[in-house]
Amino acid sequence: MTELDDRLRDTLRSKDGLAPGFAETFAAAAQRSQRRAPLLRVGLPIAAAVAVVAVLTGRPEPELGLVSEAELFGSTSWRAPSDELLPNRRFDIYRDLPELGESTKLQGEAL
Amino acid sequence: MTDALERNPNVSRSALESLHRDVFGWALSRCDYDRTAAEDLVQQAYVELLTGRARFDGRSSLKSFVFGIVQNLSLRRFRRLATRLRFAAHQDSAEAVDEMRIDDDKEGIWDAVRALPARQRDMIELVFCRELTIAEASAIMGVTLGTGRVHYERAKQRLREVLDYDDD
Repeated sequence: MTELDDRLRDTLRSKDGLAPGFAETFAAAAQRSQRRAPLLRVGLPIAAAVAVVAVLTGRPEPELGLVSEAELFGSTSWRAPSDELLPNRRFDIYRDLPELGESTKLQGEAL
Repeated sequence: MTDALERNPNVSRSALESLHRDVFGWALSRCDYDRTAAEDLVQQAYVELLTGRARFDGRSSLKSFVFGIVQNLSLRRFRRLATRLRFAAHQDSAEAVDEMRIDDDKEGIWDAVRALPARQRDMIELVFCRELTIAEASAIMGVTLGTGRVHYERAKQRLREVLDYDDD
């Protein structure tokens, strides 16, 4: 140990000043560490609930497959358009339609 | 250990108490000697130990472990501020060293230490003031032992020159 080493040690230590009491510092730290605990107590269940919802909503769609013929006929019915149109419009519907062979080209003002 | 921390069974309250003064001194120098900031830094280091986020497993000395926590926290929290402060302090000290009368009083030594580059200054503080080995100091600073030795030797050399010591 040299004279310089001794003087360095003395000088640097003199700059430390008076440290705050350990008991107070440690107690404050304990308080700070406990302040985080309620956050964890509230935060963890919320995070768990979010995870459960994410898992449930993220479930894969049921696999698509062919519908059996019997199931298809049992669940649907088919009606011809004329079944609906004819009782209400009767033959009016045909009056608006051009007759076969009739010209649809305009010649002057007339067809 | 009867007074072991709940989440850090290898750390006792009494062991921390015996280190407290040194830990505060180290925190003080990490905060450019701002007492309030140093107190906050020490508290935060204890919080890390109490919550078990920093877990001591006995592979190093408790002292260097706690010093390491303080060092890491200060780097994280004061990185930008410390750079600005150190730059300003370095400028001031460098001018002061040029102008100062070289004698062996404490202020002269203090100014010379403050004028050192940051890592050399840290090495000098850890070895001389905190009584750690160069290996422990290097680990705290996050440099290899070889690099730590270089910082140490350069710091000593610079101080010998500035303070006009040739007794080594």
